[in-house]
Amino acid sequence: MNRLIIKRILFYFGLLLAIAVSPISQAAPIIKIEIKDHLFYPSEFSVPANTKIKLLIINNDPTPEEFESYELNREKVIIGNSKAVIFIGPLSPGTYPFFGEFYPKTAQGKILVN
Amino acid sequence: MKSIRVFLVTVILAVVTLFSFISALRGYETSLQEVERMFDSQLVEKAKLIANINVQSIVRNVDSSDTAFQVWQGGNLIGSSDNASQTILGKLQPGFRYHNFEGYRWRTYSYYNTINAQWIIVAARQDIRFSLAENIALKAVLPAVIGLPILAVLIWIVVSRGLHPMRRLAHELGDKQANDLSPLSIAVNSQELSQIVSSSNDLLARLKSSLLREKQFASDAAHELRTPISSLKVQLYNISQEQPERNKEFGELQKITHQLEHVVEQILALYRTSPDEYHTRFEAIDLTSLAQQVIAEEYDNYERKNQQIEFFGQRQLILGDKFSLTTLIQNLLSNANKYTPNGGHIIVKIKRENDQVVLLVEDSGPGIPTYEHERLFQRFYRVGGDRHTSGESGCGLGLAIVKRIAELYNAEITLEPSSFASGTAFTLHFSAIIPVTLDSKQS
Amino acid sequence: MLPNAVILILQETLEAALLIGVLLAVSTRVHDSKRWLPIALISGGCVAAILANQMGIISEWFDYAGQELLNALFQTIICLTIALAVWLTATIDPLNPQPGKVAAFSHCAIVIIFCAVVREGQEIILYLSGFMYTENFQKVLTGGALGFSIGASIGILLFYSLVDHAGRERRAACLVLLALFAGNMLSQSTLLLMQIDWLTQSPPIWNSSTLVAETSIFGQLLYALVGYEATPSPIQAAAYILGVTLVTGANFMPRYYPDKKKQQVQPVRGNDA
Repeated sequence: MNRLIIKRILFYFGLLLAIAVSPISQAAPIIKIEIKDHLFYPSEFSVPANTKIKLLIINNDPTPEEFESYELNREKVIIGNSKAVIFIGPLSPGTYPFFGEFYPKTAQGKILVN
Repeated sequence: MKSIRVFLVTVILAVVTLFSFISALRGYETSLQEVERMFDSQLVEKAKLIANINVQSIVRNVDSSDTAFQVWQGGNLIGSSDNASQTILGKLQPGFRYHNFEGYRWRTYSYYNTINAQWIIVAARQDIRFSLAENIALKAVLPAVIGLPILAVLIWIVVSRGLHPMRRLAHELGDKQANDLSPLSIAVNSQELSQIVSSSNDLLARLKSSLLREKQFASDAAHELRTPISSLKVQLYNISQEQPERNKEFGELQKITHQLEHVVEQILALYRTSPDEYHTRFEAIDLTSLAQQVIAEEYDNYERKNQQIEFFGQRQLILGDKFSLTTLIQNLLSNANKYTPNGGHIIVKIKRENDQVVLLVEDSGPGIPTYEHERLFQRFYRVGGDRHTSGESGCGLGLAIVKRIAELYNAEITLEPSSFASGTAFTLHFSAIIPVTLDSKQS
Repeated sequence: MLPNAVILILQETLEAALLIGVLLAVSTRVHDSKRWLPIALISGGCVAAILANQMGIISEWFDYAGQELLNALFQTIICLTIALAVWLTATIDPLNPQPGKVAAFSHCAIVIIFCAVVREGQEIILYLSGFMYTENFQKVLTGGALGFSIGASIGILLFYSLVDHAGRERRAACLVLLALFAGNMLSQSTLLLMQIDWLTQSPPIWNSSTLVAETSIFGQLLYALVGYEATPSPIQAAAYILGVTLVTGANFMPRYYPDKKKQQVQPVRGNDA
């Protein structure tokens, strides 16, 4: 009995997922951020509002870094000398700070959405 | 089972860690802020100094590149240190901010000199500043971190010492024999425990005296009953001789009197077997010949119920006393006799297993359900209670006596289904004596 | 370096410590051996080290979505296994625990702690490895020790405060904590799927960052305890509610649909009056 109900819940959850996972129709604009000596380049840039953005983060340092932003709800480890992809948005206008969680004293930046 | 010691140590340690570490972090943060504020005020001093010097060219930094500055006037860079870039470091607005250039992050301070309308921007490398500040602040934290393991050991020792009397008390209570009612000999000097010790000693003393009283009462009562029962028997016999025509009624009366006598004898046997009395009088006894003797004495009973009784065994010596062992075998056998139906089987075996002599009594009776085993050996308990179906009379003392005697011999009693289709097998393990010499004597 | 290390390692330790504390408290009720704890910790630590070592390759899977997918998988497994463990404990009779169900509970506990340790462990290992041969390593280690000790202390205090309470209150508290944790895991996994664009992001349903900022200490504590999010999207909230419902449902289901078999096998106790 209870197994049936659990199955049903899982089914609806799957359905929800299937609806939410829509195919990536239009290619999101790409913004490249590089990390060097625990600094972000660029450390400040603007993106258009209500658009999905693909961040391509390239870590040139030998040490790992974690891209983190509370405002963007994003968190991802980028290991040394490698790259990573993070999708953000669509965002409403405003300022969205981000930082490198492993070296937060220097790795700081912000995204201006307008 | 929870250990009080582990509980105390871990909880105290956790609380101490939480508080000391959080306060250490607070200390770290405040000292960091203090040092940063100091560095900031240094930056302000530098900006004012540069304003006073009135630099109008590019100046080479002497022997360090962790500070930089720019002087702006009317949108033009009129002077700077050689490691500063050509663009504005930060903003032309008074105050502190952060700015990235030359591959580093800098703390900048912009200062507006109203006298000659110049903007002076001073920058210090954030990573170096922070590293210096942190080195100072770290000193506030390290003692707490290093001290913690020492603290842990100290807490462990203190708690262990504090709980030591309790452990000793628990040990003494645990070591006590079930029938040892002597007071605890432990000396405690703590308020909490002395209460426990005196209370349990009190309890033990009361238990001992009440047990003694019970024993005394039962054995006195049984003893006192013996004489009237004997005279009752004599009187009954006399009356029956006088009135032979009422033989049937007198026969019943005699049977009841006999039962009464039996109960009294059993009660006496039960209380006569006290450990101190017996061990001193132990001698080597051949269990086999004793069992044969008992079977021979009671043979009539088996014949009456048409039961087949078989005996297997060779001479096996144990240390004991004749009376108690006879009582034990008598009770086991009469139990088997009573609860095995007409035409049933009873097997008695005595054998040697390593350094033990095993007495086995098996019957083809109805058997005893497992949940009854616990209570079987209680006094006045009968299987099935009032619905006892065997139709046999009994007082429920037999197996209690068996158990009591077995305890005297440290013999273990086990109860299993018998090898017949139904029925019970009682097994008792006695320790054998001097195996080697006796075996050689035998041959 | 130091406060950063404290916060980073505290976050990870706290999550694992809360889980371990609650599961230990639950397991004292069902009287299982606590052997699952060292098994899960050691195996989880080893796998975390391997994953951290191979993270470069893993993050390139599925067009740079490997890291998120792996973590989302672990989080979903944790959520579902918590529901299963809660269902098991709800059907176990604490006075007469069925050995089969107790063993199944132990296996669930292994899976939960294993997944949590792998998740938290790989991040800690990656973080520490970055500082391995730098002058800052001592500071980071000190900070890590502080963070770890604070997290572990909170876990210990939680465990004892749970164990100290009578059966009913303890069960309720454990259930609430586990349900919130499961919801938190599921909601975090949707966040990761949004990060790789497998789920589309929609505007947040509320913004409470002015009320309780996620960067504040209180916000961090709320995040660790109940998975507080200042700007959650609808899918995230839905996943949170789903996780909570799943676990509470698993707890109350056996009460409304009692096992038919169990009622029949009520032991017939002695007629030994």
